[in-house]
Amino acid sequence: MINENELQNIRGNRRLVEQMYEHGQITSEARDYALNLIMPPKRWDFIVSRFLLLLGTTLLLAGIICFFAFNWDDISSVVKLASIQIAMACAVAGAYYYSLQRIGGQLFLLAASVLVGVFLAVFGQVYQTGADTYQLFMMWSIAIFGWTIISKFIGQWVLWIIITNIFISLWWGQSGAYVDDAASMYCVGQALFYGIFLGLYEYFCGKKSFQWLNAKWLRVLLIVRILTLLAIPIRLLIFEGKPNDALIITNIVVLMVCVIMFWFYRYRRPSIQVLAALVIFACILIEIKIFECLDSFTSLLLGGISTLGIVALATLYLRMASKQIAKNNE
Amino acid sequence: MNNYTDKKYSSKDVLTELNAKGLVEESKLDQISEFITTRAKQRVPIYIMIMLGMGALVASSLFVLLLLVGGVFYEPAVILMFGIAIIVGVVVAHQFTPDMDWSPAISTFMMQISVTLMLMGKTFFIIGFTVCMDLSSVWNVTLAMLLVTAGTYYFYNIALDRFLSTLAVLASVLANMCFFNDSNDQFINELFVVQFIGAAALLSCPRVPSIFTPMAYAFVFSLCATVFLSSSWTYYSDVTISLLLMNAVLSLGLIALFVLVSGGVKSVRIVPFIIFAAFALLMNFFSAPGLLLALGLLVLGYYKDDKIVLGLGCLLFPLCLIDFYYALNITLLQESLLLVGSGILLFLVRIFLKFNYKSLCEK
Repeated sequence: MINENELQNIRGNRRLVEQMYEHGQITSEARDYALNLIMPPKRWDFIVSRFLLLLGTTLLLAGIICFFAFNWDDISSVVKLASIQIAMACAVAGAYYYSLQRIGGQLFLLAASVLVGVFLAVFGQVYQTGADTYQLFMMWSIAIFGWTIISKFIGQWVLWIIITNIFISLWWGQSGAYVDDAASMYCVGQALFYGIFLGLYEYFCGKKSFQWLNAKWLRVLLIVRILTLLAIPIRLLIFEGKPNDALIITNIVVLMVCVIMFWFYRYRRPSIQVLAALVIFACILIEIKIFECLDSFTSLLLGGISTLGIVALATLYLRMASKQIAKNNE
Repeated sequence: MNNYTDKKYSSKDVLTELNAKGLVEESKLDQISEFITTRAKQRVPIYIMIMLGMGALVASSLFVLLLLVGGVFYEPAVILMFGIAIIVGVVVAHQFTPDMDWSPAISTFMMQISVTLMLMGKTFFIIGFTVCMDLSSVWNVTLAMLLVTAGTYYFYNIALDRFLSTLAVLASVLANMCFFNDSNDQFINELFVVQFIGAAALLSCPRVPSIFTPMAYAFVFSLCATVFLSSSWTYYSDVTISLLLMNAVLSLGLIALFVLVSGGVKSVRIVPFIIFAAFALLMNFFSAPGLLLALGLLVLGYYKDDKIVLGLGCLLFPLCLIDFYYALNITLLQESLLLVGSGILLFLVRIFLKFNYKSLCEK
């Protein structure tokens, strides 16, 4: 007896239709009809249009960055600066004309934001300001913050987060705040920086007026970045013979952050992808610890057996959690 | 263009629709529904695959190291035979226990053990075979990998093992050329063409059995690696790789992809086809191979609803863009012109589609 709920929860996608056809469950006529149903020409039109717009903009902006990075001597400084400003003004005008409700307008604003950075870089080249690099990124981040707030566009936010993060990283290194002992604090600080945006994302993404924020890839991107940063203090603790106070404190913070993330994504906003990322993260760290302890034949044997056990347990947990989450969603 | 809202269908919706149109008989509905639910249950999520693969690789490496460093084996022939014995044992055990009613815990653990043992067996086989043949040629490692992969691919029904083994063979060929090449081994261009044809055929032909899906992914991964390495190829190796050939093949691939997405040769409309073909051929001169491949993967991944291919395209695009920026064989000015040219081409195609969409649909 087929459970209709079960069928309702399985996505009817292209892969499924192809599998049914491949195994002789449906005819080629039924396949063509199903494929057209799932992916009608209108959808292709919409997707292709966005695809061309996004890629075209990315390539064009990358080309502009390369052009000014070349620092062509034949072009005078005035022309360089003026051309960027004109392009920036055109981009802002384009954003106004298309409005920020449409992808075209949002991309124009994104282009204007990138051009602000290009302008600052060229300005630094022309006038040899001697400023530290972090100041360029700081000014860039401040200059486009207003646009980012009004943009209602994830791409613009991602750009702003990256620029601000580069500014903080460079400031840490160039202002003398960075010392070897504080490497773990630097990583935790960075992770908390991304954590703020993850928290904001989780808070706002369910709300009606923030539908533009509803993109799961942003969550995955932030989680992966946070976990890679959090891994560094733990790795330092594993390999450090005598950990200093800063390292111990940051590892306690890392542990707390991981526990909070686990609790949140298991019980408050269940997400099997994030849980899987956390579990894989934990397994990798345990494996690093096992490798660090490998010094005899017995440890090789125990290492192999414990690896099998840890991975099997982790896999089993993920399977169970996945079932539970699916059941709760029903 | 238009304001389209994305509707997602469940398998029940699709079946109901097919039944309403008379394309699926009422009597077959139960059978198809059972097929769908069984397939869904058998599907292993990607994160589980990653966990299993990671665990199996680490555990098998430790066990192999233990047996080799521990001095259990001295003779290469014994290592070879031991490897074969493990592989045969795992395959036999796998063939005789396909429908065991194990609990999820036991089934997960058994799968983990099985993949680990298989990787161990394969490693012993490769070591034994290479030492028996001739240690001086790195191609013996590749030959051993090829033999053991071909020998187990059909019989050992675990997608993860199939993917890892095929990828290991392709990666070994690439590594031989990239890092251990000698003057006689200049067939990198042929390798690229083979990888491209393999990936394209396995991913785009409609009736390719699912047994070849892991192989298709392995081809795509290795193709991405070849293309990604191509911009800095001369840094690693003396072998010449033809960027012109790469661009030409990838541009033709884009044209073929357009035909596929249009629904086959019969459904292709001549005007958009000519425009797209012109665009793809122009991209041949205006773009870098990595960008063309990423473009193709993004379209193919979306078309097939394949998150792995789509994800790979999303990853490859920015990576190739950054790599292109740092490429030393052309100046920043040339790079800039190529990138701006590619961007403008994409905009032109979009503008064409925007103004001709309605008339094209009517046709």
